[in-house]
This record gives sequence, structure tokens and C-alpha cells, in this order.
Amino acid sequence: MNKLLLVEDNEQNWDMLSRRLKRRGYEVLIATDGQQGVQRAELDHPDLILMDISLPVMDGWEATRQILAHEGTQDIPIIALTAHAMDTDREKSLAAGCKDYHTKPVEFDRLVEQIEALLQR
Amino acid sequence: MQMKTLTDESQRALVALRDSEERYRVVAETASDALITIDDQSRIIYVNPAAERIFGYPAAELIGQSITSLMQPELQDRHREGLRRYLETGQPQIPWTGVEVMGRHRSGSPIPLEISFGKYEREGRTYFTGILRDVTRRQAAQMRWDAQHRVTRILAESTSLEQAAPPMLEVICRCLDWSAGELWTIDAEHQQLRCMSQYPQTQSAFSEATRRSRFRPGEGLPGRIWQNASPVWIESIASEDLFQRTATALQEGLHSGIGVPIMIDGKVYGAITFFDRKALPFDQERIDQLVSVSLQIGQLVERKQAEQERQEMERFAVGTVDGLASQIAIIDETGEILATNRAWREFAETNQARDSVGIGVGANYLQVCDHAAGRHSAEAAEVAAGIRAVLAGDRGHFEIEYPCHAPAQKRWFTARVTRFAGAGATRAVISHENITHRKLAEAALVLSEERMQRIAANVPGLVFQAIRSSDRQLRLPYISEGARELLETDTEQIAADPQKLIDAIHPEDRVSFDQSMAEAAEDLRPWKWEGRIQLPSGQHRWVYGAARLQKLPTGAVAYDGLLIDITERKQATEELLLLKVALEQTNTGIVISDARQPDCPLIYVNRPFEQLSGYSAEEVIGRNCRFLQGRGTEPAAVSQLRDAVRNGTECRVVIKNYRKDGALFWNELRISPVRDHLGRLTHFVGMQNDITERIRSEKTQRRLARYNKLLLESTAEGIYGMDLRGNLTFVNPSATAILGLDDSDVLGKSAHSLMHHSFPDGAPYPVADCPIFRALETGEVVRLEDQVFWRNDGTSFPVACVASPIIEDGEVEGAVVAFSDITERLRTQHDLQEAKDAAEIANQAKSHFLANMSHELRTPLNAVLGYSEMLQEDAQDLGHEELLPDLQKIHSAGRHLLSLINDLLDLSKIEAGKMTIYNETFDIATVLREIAATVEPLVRINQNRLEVKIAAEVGTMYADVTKVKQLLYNLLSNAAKFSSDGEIRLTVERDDADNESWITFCVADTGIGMTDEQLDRLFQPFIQADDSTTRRFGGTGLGLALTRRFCQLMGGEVSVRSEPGCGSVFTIRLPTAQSPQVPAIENTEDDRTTDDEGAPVALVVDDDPAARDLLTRFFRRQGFRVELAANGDEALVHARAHLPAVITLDVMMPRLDGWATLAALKADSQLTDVPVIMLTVVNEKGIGYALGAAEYLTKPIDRPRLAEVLRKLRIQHLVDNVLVIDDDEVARASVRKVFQDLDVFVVEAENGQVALDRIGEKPPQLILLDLVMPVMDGFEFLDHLRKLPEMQDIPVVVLTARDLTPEERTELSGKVEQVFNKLSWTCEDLLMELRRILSEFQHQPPPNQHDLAESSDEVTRI
Repeated sequence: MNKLLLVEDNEQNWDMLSRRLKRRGYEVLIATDGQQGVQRAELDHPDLILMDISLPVMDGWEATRQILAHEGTQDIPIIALTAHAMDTDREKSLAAGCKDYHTKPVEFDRLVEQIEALLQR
Repeated sequence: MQMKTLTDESQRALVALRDSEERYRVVAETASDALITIDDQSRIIYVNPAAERIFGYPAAELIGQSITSLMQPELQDRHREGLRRYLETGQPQIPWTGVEVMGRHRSGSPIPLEISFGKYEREGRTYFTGILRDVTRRQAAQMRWDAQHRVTRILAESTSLEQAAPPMLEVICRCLDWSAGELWTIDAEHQQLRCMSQYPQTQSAFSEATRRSRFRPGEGLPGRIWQNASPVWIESIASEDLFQRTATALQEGLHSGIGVPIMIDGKVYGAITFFDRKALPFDQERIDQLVSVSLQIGQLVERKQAEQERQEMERFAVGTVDGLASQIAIIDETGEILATNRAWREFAETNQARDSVGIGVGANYLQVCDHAAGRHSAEAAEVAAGIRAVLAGDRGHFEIEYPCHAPAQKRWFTARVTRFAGAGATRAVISHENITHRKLAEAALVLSEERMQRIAANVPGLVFQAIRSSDRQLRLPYISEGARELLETDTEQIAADPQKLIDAIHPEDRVSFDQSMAEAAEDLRPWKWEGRIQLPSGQHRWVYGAARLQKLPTGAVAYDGLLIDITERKQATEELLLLKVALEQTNTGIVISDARQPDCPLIYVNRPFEQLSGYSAEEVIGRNCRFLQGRGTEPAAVSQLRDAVRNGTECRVVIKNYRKDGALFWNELRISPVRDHLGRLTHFVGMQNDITERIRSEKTQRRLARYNKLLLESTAEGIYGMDLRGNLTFVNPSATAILGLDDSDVLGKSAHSLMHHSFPDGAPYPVADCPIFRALETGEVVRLEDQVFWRNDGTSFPVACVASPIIEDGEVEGAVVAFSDITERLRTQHDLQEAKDAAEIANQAKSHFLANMSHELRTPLNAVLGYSEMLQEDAQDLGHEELLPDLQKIHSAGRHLLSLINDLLDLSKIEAGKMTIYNETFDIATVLREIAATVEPLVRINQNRLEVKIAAEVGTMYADVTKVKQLLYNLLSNAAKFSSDGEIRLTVERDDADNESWITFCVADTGIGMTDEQLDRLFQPFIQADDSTTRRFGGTGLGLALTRRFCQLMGGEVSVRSEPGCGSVFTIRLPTAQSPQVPAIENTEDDRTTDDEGAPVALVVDDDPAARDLLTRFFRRQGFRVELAANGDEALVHARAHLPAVITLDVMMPRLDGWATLAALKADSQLTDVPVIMLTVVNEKGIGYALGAAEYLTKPIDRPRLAEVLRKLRIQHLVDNVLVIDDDEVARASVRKVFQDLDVFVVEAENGQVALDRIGEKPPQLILLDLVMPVMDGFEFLDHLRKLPEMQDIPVVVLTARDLTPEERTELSGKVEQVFNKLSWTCEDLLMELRRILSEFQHQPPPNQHDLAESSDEVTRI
């Protein structure tokens, strides 16, 4: 069973998304800010991280950078989840080291495809 | 017995008697002579048969007749005398016995008879019996012999046939009894026989005919003889048809004729012919007689010819020998001189006179020689010995050369002695020949050879004989002294070592030298070579070598030749060559025309001329140079040229000429006559310089000078000049005004101390620190924005100033300083900056807001959509199907909200310029299939069918695939939304147009369609066809607006056709390879130019699309083709490409601004004449005009005003030649000035008559006419003018001081275009009206008078 870390501050969203992901058979860990996200990544070493960008304490870009900078977590693929539809968001995500990018609102089936594609690697 | 004996005896006697009688009878009967017996009365008592035959009587007729009837009358008398005497005396005397007498034939013709008579008596009577022998034959033979003999004598004694012929013919006629005789000879030249001589020589018709007659072979008697080459006998002339002289012959009594040929060498030479009065039967005897005579004649002629030839030969031989210069003598074996020639005789005479030694004929030459030998002449002894040896037969020939020196002169002789067999005795020929000339010639030859060597030694070059052996070894048997000078080497050294000659040749030329020698040797043609000699001094010398070649028996080749120094010639040639090159290299077109040929045709043009005129030399050689002239060429300049050509003088004119392509250029033309040594005009040399650039730049300079002044005076900037010390040299009015100076007392004062003396805080500003002076020190432009200048009243103000050094010939001579009070600008700048900052902040806030909004809206939406999807799944899983529709409504509303947010976001991104295009290459068909699949469920909702038609060749395109999908999705979903039970067709095609490849996507539906009104608003954001639509169909109303923006972003467009109820067709057209940076330009539909290629081009330069759009429509209505440019750089590119008729130029533009663009346009010689209309919000007319703008209009665009300006400007394109007719010089001058300022050519005339005279030179395009003039007034002039067919369409404008009467107006109407009042017109008014008239004139038929009925004080339209 693949372990996913969902970093998301909006409760409705992490509740909804984690439940849907669990239904698809993933183990889902939750972090509600960037700082937590970095810590959970180091502690639990998930197979993949879904990273919201607008996060309290530490934003998604920074969290991504730190996770990728840390020796134990640098290989974990990260998918950026953002409500920013500006094109620059996409570029900034990829530049920060995210392996993929998904605009909210989530198109669930497509998100699952993206997750599976990265886990297969 | 006796009796018996007697009887026997008598019997025997009787028998004997009878026998005797019988014998006698037989004898008498058979005798060939006539036997006649007569009695003593001369009566014939017996004749024998022969007598009958001879005399022609039967015996019966003769018996009893007197014998005298057989006699010729003269004999009859003698006979009767003899008879009488006999009868008296009884003594018979027979006179004719033994005598030849003539008897008489019964016909009367004489018969030569030899007669012998005897007497006998019987019965007492005496009888005489005679034998008469016809001796005709004997006599004829005798006569023939006699004739022969006499003819022979005559011929023998005659020297020629001419001499012999007359006596010969006479003898033949007399002896052979012919009445007439002729001798004919052949005239070889005319091939006819002519009479040489005839007998008798008495005049008669016949002899006359004979003399005149000419006979060809076969004609007449002589001709027949000629033809037959045998005798011809004519028995009766009368019956012979060939006889031509019949009439005269018969008249003469001639009846028969005979002729025989005279033959020489078997050929007919002539003929002899004879005639007789009797008709003569054929007689071989007579023919034989004549044949023998003709033979003799032939022999005579032959003999005479041979003799003649011999004599000629002899004369020739004698003449030849006599003519020889050699002295020739023949000696016999003793040495005695037998014969000599003239030269010998002359020599002998002088010898005799000098030496008293005779050597003429009779002298003994051997003795002469011996005598000389005795005087110690060795040569004489040798000659004598030689002669003796030859005479003795020891040798056949002897020859010696010897001198014979007389005191005064030297002479040489040769003597030759040759033996020859003379007439049985030994003979020798001695010949002496004077060989003094030959000897002298030989001596002279020796002399001339010496002289030749002396000459050779003195010719400027070297003469040589070189022998080149087959192994290419060179020998120099002879080399003249010239070698010393030419090669600067000793002649002897070279002669000794020919290699030195080769060594002297420049190394680069040795190969050609050797090759030329070898090539010449191949076929022995003359050797020619040109090359350099390297002197010991190191200098070069050009030489020309030439030689004649001769093959020697050894196989070597001898070169007799020379080498000449051609250095100077070579230099001259090179100079000529350089001149020619220079002629081709110069910028001046040079032509040469032949003044001796009619119309002075060109015989040379140089390459620069070809470039200048565009004509090639081949095209113009042989033509007169006037092909350069054309429509605008000034008649005055042409006549100046013509005068110069006619008078053969030099002439310099500046003339308008035309290139081959029709382009005008200003030609500074100078023609110079060329004369030969007799001063006759032979050529003209024409120098042509294209000074178009110069004239343009002069024009530009004049204009700039004008502009400069204007600029200085009109600009709001203060401008002053200063010298190197910083003292003022000029101050413009603005500067004086700004600084509050009195401009009369500032010049020469220090600029710094006048206006720049202190810092803003009032502290003194030392001159040494003044940055403006840097312009003087460094020669660079100094721009300052942080200075303050001080007014005269002690107040200061901030300035922006530019100090530009004045640099002449690399030296700074001063500076021009332009400054402006920037108080206002600084304030504005400050305000602007604040506004800008505020705007930026606001903008950032907006972006931030948008991003946040987006985020904040999406986050709850995310939850709404997610939970609703989840609930749907749960409801399905748990079997609560009844909840599903409501859950779906929640989900669908969320999606609608999301799409609304997305569209808004897209729209705001586009507005903010933040929409980015990601181009990639993709397969169109694949993408279409994806879209079709996506849209399929939507389509099916309203029971529509989707049909996709993809053309086979659409292939791939390079574009933003996401946006393409979005576009098509929008259109297809719209189509699906607004149709039901219908068909939606998506058609995709590729079309290649305008060098670009396009893809057209066409979405057609069968839906509700739209009205025109709806269509108009279709692409506006937030607007659907109408509000009810929104209510009925939903949608954000942003889809089509976005579709349009996306299309434009990708360089394409979207269009729509629709009718209510009939469905709609949306068409998207995108380039297949969209260039990455296509600026978003709005309103592209109208940007394309009109199709009218012939229309003049207007170039609109403006960065504002709205302004471009407006101007495009305006210019199209004015009949222009429009080109657009968004900035100055583009403007220059378009201007050069299209050469527009007019340019409108905005000032405020990105990159190259309007001022810079205007300056660049005016600096380009091609574009400097293109009028530029400034169209700007910036009101700086002064600068605009200063930089060369034709007009200056401020925005907003006043279209009527712009149209007026355009008409004004177009006058220069309409007219370049004006005729001004006015008797008032001042009036003419003011009009002239107006036009000359426009570069329009003005012809002036003082009255109508002069104008008519001048009008023919070059029809003007406009006539300005005064009405009241001497000689011919304006009305009369108009009458004349309008009668000339080619002058009918020239517009005429009347300028008059008179108030016209209604009658005059009527008269003028239809003939002139306009009447101006002379007293009140202004330049501007006049030009304005002229432009209007001229442009109307070009675009329309001549105005109708009804349109021009209005009138005003100054301008009256007729």
C-alpha cells in the first residue's frame, strides 16, 4: 500500500481528498502547514507528497525546497496542488522541484493518473 | 609471046596499078591529114574523110567548090593572086607549101594547118593535090609550153605574187586563148576570197563586179574551187546557178569559165579563174595547163614566204648580234676577222683611233694579240694562246677575265672564244664583254657591306645574325656595336658568349623569348618579340625584337634581325592605357560624338556613362545623344546645347535628363569641340555628371537654412551660440524672452556670467566648473538636466540644456546651446511619476487581487465539487439513486462557477497582457479527434449529430494546442447548445495564401441563428445574443469574447455568418506556423490594403491602432492604397519599399519617434521629396516645418482639413510647367515666385501673341492669363488657344484687375477654369485654388459651368 502525504490547510479539502484517496486504496498522511509537511516527510517517509501551495507557517514552495534539500526526503516525488491559475504558478512549481502540478479544483481521476504515473517510476 | 609478056606485063602493071591505086585509096581514106585535090581553076575535085572532119563539111558540099572557101579571107586574096599568075604564066606557084597557114572551119573558126601541095597532070590538065595537116594540137601544145615557159619566167623574176600576177594572167590569156583571167587569194582574217589581179585591166561592169566580189567557201566559181580544193569547169555560165556574176559576164560575152586552186602545203591558198566567150566543152588538157600554172604559183608563194622568213631570221639574227653589248667577231683559222657585230665595230673604231691598231673585218686578231703580248701584256699572250688552242681543236672553249686600264678609267673585260664549224672551214667566235659595271658593283657591294656595318653600328639598337642550332644552342656570327648601348655590355663579350645575351633578358621574359624563337623557327615565319632587358645596373629596358629566318643546310636556323629599345614607346602606351582605364574609372560619363557625320552620332561612351544613363554602349552608339532628353528637359538648355553644336563652341549646361528606365536626373553636361590640325570640327567630347544628389542636397541645404532660421525663431527653446571663450555669438528670440534679456547688448558677453553665474542655492558657480564648457573642451555634445539658469531679474529656473560643439575641419570653433525652462516639465514629471507609481501599485493590487480571488474562489469550489462527486459515488454505492439528480445539480453549478472564474481569469490575463502562448507542433487530425470525443456527449444532449470533415492535407501546425482545443470546444459546445435535432459540422481545411499557410476551422450548426444586431455584439465580453439567451441557455457570455482574443493572440481571426433560424457558421483561421512574437493588434480586418495597384500609396505611421484604422479608411476613400507602420523603423522600411505619394507621421511612437523618422525620411535622397504630414497631439509646428514636414496637423484628426492638405500637396504631382501671360512685369514676377518655390517650371509671356509663339515649345500644364494686354489680349488668346487641338485641355486661370461684365463672364465661361481678382489674391489662396482645380482636372472631366455659378468677392467661379 502506497503512502501519500497530503499537505493541505483547508480542512474541507484535506478531509474530502484524503477520503477519496483512501477509497482508491492509498494510505494518506495529513499535514496542515508547510512546517508540518517537512517534518512528516522526514518522519514517515511517504512514497509521494501532494503539496498545496498556499499554506500557513511555511508556504508550499519553501516546504518543497526543504524536503528536496533534505538527504532522506530528496527522492520523494511531489505534486503541487494550487488554486493559483496563473501560468507563473505552474512554472514556479516545476522550478521548485515538483515533479507535477495540479490545479484546483481537483479533477480526481486525472490526479490519480498523475500519482500513479509518478509511483510507477 | 611478047604480047603475052606485055599483056602479062601490062596485066602485072595493071594489077600493080590497081594495087597502087588501092593502097593510095586506103592511105587517103584512113589518113589523119586532109587530102584535097583541086584543078587548075582551084575547084576541089577530091577530099578525103579527114578533110571532111577537119573543115566540117561533107565531101559533097566541097566537091566543085573553090578551095578558097576553106581559107581565111586574107589568104583567099593571096590565093586568087597566085592562081591568076599561074593561069597567065602556067607556072604554078604554091605559096603555102611547108608553111603554116590558117584554114577556116565551116563554123568560121580558124584551123592552123601545115600544108604541102604537089602538082600532077593528067589528060592535059594540071591538078594539085595537097596534104593539109591540122596542127591545132601541136600548136596548142606549143602554146602551152610557151605559156608555161613565159609564166615560169615571170614568176621567177617576180619578187612577189602581186608583182607576178598581172603579166602572168596576161600571158595565160593570150597564150592559152582565154578572154579573161583572175587571181584570187584567201583573206585569212575574214575567211573570204578576194581578187588580187585580173586581166584584161580594162574597165567593165564585169571587172568591177569581180573587184568588188568576196567569196566564201562554196560561193561562186572561186568559192567552189576553195570548197572542193579541185578545179571547176563551167561549160555555160548562163546555165550555172552558182555563178554570181552571170549578168555582167553575159553582158561581157563570156560564156564559159574554169578555175583551179592554188595549193600550198595541201591547203587552198587561192585560185585562178579564166573565162572564154565560147562555150567550151570540158577539156582536161586545158585544166592540166592551168593546174601546172597554179602549181608554179603555189611554189612561188611558198618560196617567197620561205625567203621572207629566212630574211627575217637573218635580220633578226643580225639585229640580235648587233644589239648585244658583247663585242663579237668571227675569225677564220688564220685569225683573220671575217665578220663583226656593231659593238665590235664601235670598239674597233675607238681602238683604231686610240691605238692605231685595226681590228675591223680583214684584220688579223691573232696578230693583234701577239702584238700586244709583245708589249708585255700577259693577258694578251694568254688570249692568243687560248685562241690558238681553240682553233687547233685542242679545246672547244676558252674564257678569260682581264683588266684593261685606260689612263682615265679602270675597265674589265671577259674574252670568250668558241669554235664552230663554219661552211666547211674552221671558224671561231670571239666575244668580249665589258664587265666593268659588274666589277664596280662587286666593289660597291663590298663597300656597302662595310657601310651597312657602320650603319648597323649606329642604329639605336642592335643588329644581329643569330644561328640557332637544332639543339637550341645560339651562336652570334654578327652583332652590331649597338649591343654596347642597348645591353650595356661589350659587343665582343656577347659575340664570344651568346649566353650573355640570354642572360641579359629579364628572367620573367626568358621563357617567352625562347618560345617565340622556337615558334618562329617551326615554319620560318618572321620572329617578333617584346620583352625586357635587365641591365647590369639593375634597371629594366623594354626591347622589341624582330628577325627574318632562314633555314641553313645544317638544319640550324639563322635569324637576321634587330633589337630596338622601346622603353619610351612602352611608357607612352602604358600612359595611354592608364588614361583609358582612368576614363572608365572616373565618375564622369564621357561620350564622344562624330561631328562630321550628320546628326553627330555617338562613337564612344564610357562605362560610367552606361551606369549613369542606364543605356548600354551598344544601344546608343550611332545615335544622337538627345535620347537623354525628355518631357521635363528645359527647352532653353537644349537650345543652348544646339547653338554650341552648331557653332562648334564649348558649352556647359545643367539639364534635366532621363535614364533609360525613365528616371529623371540632373545632368551637368559639358561639351567641348575637338578640331583637327586644319581647325575643322571633327568631334565633340561630352562630359556628363549626375548632379541630382548635389542639386537635391543644395535644395535640402537651402531648405535647411530656411528651416534653421525658422527653427531658431519659432522654437520655444532658448538657443544661443558661443565662441571658444564662452562669449555669446547669437541668441534666439526665445532665449532673450526666457532670460528677460535685451538682445541688443548681450552679444560678445560671457554666457556663463550672464545666466549661469550661480548654483541654485545662490553660491557662485566658477566658470572652470561649468559643465557646458565641456562641449568646447572635448568637442562632444553635453546634455544637462540638473542646472539652473538665472534670469536678468535675479530669479532662477531649472533648465534642460544641450550644448553641441561647432566643429569645422576637425577644430572646435564654438558651441550652440539649446535650453528650455523645465519648471513645468519637472512638475509634470513629478506628477506623472506619482500617477505612474499609483497606477503600478493599483495594477499590482489588481493582479494580486485576481490571483487571490482565484485562489479563494477555487478553494471552496474544490470542496463543493469534490464532496458532490463523492456523494454521487456514495449514493450509487449505497443505492440512494433518488439523491443523484440533486447531487449532479450541485456539481454542475460548481462547474459552471468554475468555468466562469476560469474565463474571467483568462480575460483579465489577456487584458493584463499576461496571457502566454505555448507553441508546439501537433497533428491537427489527432487533436480534432480528441475534441470530437470530448464534445460528443454535449452534442448528444440536444439530439444533435456531429460530423467532422478533415481534409487530407491538413497535416500539422505549430500553435498553442490547449488554446486551439479551447477555441474549438467553445464553438462546438455553443453549436450544441443552440441546436437541437440538428447537425453540427466541423470542417478543417488548409489554404495557402499570401505566402502563408493557414488552417481554417469551420463550425456550422443548424441552430437558432442570430440577427444582424446580435451579430454586431457577438464578440463583446459578457454579452450573449440577448438576455433571454442567457436565461434560456446559460453560459457566461465570455466564451466568444475569449475565442476572439485567443485567435488574435495566435495571429488568426474568427468570423461568423448567421441568419435567425438558419443556424450559424463560425470560422476560425489560424496560421499553421505562428511566429512567436505577434503583437496583439486590434481591428485587423481593415488593415489590409486596397487591391488597386495603380493607386498612389499613402503611408500611415502611427502606433495607435485606432488612428491607423481611421486614417486607412480616410485614405482609401481618397483613392489611395494604404501602407501601415506602427513605428519609425517600420515607416522607413515601408517608405523605401513603396515610395508613397504622401506620408502621415505621428510623433509619439515607441523606438524611432516621429522627429527622428521625419529627419531620416528627409535625409534619404529617394524620399526627400515625399510630402510628410505630421499628425500628432504634440503641437510643435516649428520643429515639424523645420525638419521638412509639408503640413502639420494636430490630433484629433480633422478629416476635411486633412483632405484639403492632401489636395494642396498633390499639386506638385499635377503640374511642373506653368505659362504665365501678363504684360505687367511685377505681376509676372510675383506669380513666378510662387511657383518657383514649388519647383515648378515657369514660362513667361508678355502678351497673347508671345504666349502662342512659346506654347509650341512645350505645352504647359497650366496657364495663368491676364485679360488686358497689348498686341493680343486674353480673350483673343483664348480663342486661338482653344482652336489648337493639343491645347484644348490645358486648364486656364484668369488673373485680372478688372471687374468683369456679365457679357465677359459669359464669354469666358467654359473656356477658363477660374477667375481671380489680381488685386486681392494671396499666395495661399491662389495655390489652394490651383491645387483644387488641378486635382479636379486630373480626376474628373472639365467642370460643368452650372456647378460654378456661385461667386464671391475675390474668387469667382464661372
